[in-house]
Amino acid sequence: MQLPNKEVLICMNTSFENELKPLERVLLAHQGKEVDRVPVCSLAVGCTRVLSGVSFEEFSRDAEKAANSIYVANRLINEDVIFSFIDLSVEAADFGQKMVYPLNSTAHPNYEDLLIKEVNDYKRLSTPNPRQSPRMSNYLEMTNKLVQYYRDFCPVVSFVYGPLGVLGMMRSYEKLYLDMLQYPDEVKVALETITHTLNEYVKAQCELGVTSVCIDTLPGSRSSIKPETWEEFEGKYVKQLADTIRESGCMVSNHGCGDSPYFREVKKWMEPELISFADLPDDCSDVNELKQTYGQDCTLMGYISTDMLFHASAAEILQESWKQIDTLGKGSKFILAPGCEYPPNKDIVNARALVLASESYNRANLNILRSLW
Amino acid sequence: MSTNQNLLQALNHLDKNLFFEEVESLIRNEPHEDIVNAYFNPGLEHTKERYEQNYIGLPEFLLSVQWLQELLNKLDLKNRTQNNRQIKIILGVIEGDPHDMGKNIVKKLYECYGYQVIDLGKDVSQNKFVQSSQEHEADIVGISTMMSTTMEVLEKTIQRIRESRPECRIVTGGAFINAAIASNIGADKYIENAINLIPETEELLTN
Repeated sequence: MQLPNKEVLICMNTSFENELKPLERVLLAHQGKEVDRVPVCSLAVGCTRVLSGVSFEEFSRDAEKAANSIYVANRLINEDVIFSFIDLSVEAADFGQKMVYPLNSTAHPNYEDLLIKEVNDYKRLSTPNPRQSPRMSNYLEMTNKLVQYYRDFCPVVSFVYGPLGVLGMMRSYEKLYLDMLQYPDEVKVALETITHTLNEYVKAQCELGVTSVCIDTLPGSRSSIKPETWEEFEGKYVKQLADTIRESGCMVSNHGCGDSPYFREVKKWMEPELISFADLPDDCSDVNELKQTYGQDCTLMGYISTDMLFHASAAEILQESWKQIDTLGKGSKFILAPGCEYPPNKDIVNARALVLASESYNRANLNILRSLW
Repeated sequence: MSTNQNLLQALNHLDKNLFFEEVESLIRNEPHEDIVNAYFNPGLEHTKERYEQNYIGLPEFLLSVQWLQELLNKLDLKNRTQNNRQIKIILGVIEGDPHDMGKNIVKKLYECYGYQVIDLGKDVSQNKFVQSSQEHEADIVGISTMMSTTMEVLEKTIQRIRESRPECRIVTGGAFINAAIASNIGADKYIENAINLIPETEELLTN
């Protein structure tokens, strides 16, 4: 597939009169200022490969094909934030974890051949150079292409899987959780090693000119470990990454898609400017409390359920999106998005519905809409 | 403190030495059937309650259940059953999905409560589910999934089990589904978490 040439890019990136450019819309919304409509990030990543006839494996390993897939999908969806993401296997693969690249699904570790087979293996981890190792350098190349495509038009948010998540890919979460209780010192040695590499990785991402780097803290929720355990085994490590991102002049974002995520602890250690979430945090009982407690300092990004995006009709997505814009969009500082990656084997119709909901919300009769929910 | 209190304390503090000292003492001094009712069952309920109330997280829950299962394995129990019935449950993670932590937790709990579990593992094909259900004459087939990419094959698997053994109950659990979706794709029940596992299973068996 050909790269889009400059003229095509200019055509595709031309906004309608009086319409804000995505970058303006997102930055104004982040500052809590009024915008023409709520910005949208579809988190459509793996699913975009279908539009370019690319396999899951090619999407994982070929920067140009992945960047082009995301680009084409983004222009069809017309969203405001480009989420530069491949899959969760990128970092662990470069530490030496063998991966499986299925035909109809995203890459995952070969769980029959995990890198950390016994407790002693924690201290044997090597430290790959993310600028040269195959998967992370490929990711950097893809992100660079996206930044070049969208420069000054659309913010690009890059991604790093948190140290505990990366370790989970090399040990299995089940064994890792037991080791955290029984061999905490050994686990921490590995976390130090991983953090060292991830620190270089986020530095390289920032050098590309991304707007923000998003740190995924999947285990930081009630679905997994206690908040104090998360602080001990991930909080202090992600702080190093967050500090590096900020020192490099980029914004810090956070994503956690577990149930009842620990926003309080995430704020304490990372001070993110944007939080992407799939469920209400453990200390908020409803969205109003969420907006009041966390939506003043942070831009909130969420939280259309991925179950719904997979199973529901576009009309249902529109209704749910309007409802969320109505509550979380008040006072700006909100980006409408799925709670996690858009289902990777789903067509992009429901991703487009998210944008349509944002475009139509201001024109909709709110009294009628509110009566629906 | 009593032995029972000591056991609960050991679980609360994840004190392995104390837990297994008490276990060894019990095994020497108490009838093994009584240990199940007086010590094991209260220990398991206590662990589930603490998990449900967020006093402990998944790691502590996993370790406590592992110790309790080790206690159970040390006992000489003849024909242990759930409510005097021999319930056979086939468990597996659907084809295309390698995530088996949820399934493993479910397996441990079922075994702790006296159900007979046939574990097919992860990435299990449609054929394997159907054949195993027939071969073992399972009362329940439990299918786990954590990935949206498996939805199509999950639905087909449920249909095929249903066609081959209409009397078999089919349970699903994991991500990307809920009770309504599970019902739509033909499952008898969606079980959301470990806390509800046993009451929901019993409800399914009695209806």
